[in-house]
Amino acid sequence: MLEFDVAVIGAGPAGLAAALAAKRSGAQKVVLVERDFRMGGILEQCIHMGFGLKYFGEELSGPEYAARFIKRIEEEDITVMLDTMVLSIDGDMRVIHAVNKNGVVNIKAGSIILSMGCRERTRAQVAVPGTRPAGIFTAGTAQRFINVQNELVGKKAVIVGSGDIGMIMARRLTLEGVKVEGVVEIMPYLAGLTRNRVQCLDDYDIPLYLSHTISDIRGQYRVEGVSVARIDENREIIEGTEFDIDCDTILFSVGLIPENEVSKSAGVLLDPVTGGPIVDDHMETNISGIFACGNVLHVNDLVDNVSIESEKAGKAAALFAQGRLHEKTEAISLACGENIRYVTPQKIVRGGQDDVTIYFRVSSPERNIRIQAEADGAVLLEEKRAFVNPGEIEFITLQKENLSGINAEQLIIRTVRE
Amino acid sequence: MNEKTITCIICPSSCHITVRGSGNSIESIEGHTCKRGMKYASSEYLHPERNLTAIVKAKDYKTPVISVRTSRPVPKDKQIACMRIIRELEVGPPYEIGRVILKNILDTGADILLTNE
Repeated sequence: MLEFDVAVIGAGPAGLAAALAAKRSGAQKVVLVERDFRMGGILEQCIHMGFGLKYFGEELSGPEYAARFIKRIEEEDITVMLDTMVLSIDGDMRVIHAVNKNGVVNIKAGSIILSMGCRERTRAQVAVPGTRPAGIFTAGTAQRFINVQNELVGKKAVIVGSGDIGMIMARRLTLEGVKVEGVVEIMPYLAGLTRNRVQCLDDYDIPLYLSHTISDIRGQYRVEGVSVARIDENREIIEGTEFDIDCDTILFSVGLIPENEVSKSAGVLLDPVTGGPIVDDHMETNISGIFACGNVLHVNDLVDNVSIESEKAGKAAALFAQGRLHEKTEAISLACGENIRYVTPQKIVRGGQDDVTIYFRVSSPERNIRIQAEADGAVLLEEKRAFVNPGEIEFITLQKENLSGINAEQLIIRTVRE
Repeated sequence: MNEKTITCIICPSSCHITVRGSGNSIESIEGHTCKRGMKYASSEYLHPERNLTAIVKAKDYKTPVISVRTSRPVPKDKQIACMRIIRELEVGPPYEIGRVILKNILDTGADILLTNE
């Protein structure tokens, strides 16, 4: 059995930042366990720009952003185990069971950080009718084929879902000479960021079909085309609106799911809305000594936020391993009020010494609102927003002075119209 | 007189800004709600530019290709032409981030650099 103070599962942006912060917060022995052949996670295939503006103050591509952290990891005395897949965790003993080409690897850790990221929802999860020919990919799989393995996925594509990866792949395919016939989105609004619609779709005159769905996929061996139809507010197809698009490729960009099979094996409780662990402001789960950060916790839209949040997890995990994280006392629960879909962290430990940043998403778009944090009828914090959108994450920071006075069991986050 | 509607990408408000002008002169900018939006709209109208990212074939590297980008944004209408050139490139070691593999692509002033190592 190998022994470490802090074990980090997954060397994507969350794991890299967490491992580094753990080491720099005094953890002697830190191990980073990664199933791929290299560190960096999904950033390695995100060759586009747009990363790092907040964290590094300059715009970088995904691989460049990852490389800055990888370099720092390599400079520190951190053990990196590549090509190693974690299968389960014994939560009470804090033992990780993994496999690699040498066989079984067991790691006993003082504390564990879950940073496995997320995976893509597939065609199966959105139940699209039609045949099952070759040529249907998730957007991220196509991205890896093209950007890492040098395999072009087709010649004429339709993209289902207006998530960021889908739109970025629309541009990527266009630049590689693939004709992108359109992006089909079931919701009446864009799932991803407006900036991606402008720079990835509008720039190349790629049609965006909002409130539309794929009513059929055609083709026996290879995709031959799709039928697209407008839907009403009950998501029923409006008769007479159906049209066909010929294509040989379909990419699904229909959302991401935090990857928590390993977390569940440890007994970690998940939030039904985020799909990720319920954590407190130290990023600690319900299992003592097990922490979580990044997309395993909730799907982020900016990697910079992931790095910042993961450093918190790394620091707390290091303190826990050294017996310096203060006892788990009772916590204030955060509740979702008007138009708030989820908040994370979901709890704030009483008596904390730090300001607490709360990330949240709204349920539907709104203009000219105030974000309010309320406990026992008293408003602790109020901030204006000109515009909120489910596709763009929001956050507020509660000052420690504000938190220390709260006796209530619940803190409610909500939006209030002007 | 030309009219162009631009969706601002500076912040999530996504203002729709209308720019009117002829040739290289702007007559009016409307619909913006801040100075940065006005600046963005004017540069989008006069000389829209984009950073370009791609992959090139890589010899003796851990994957068949390595990612690259332009050192500065290139004119939007030169993207496809730039891509035709980039697609034909092939590199060998040393693999270092920031290494220039092609200087001044299509006279845009932008170099092509490696973004991985």
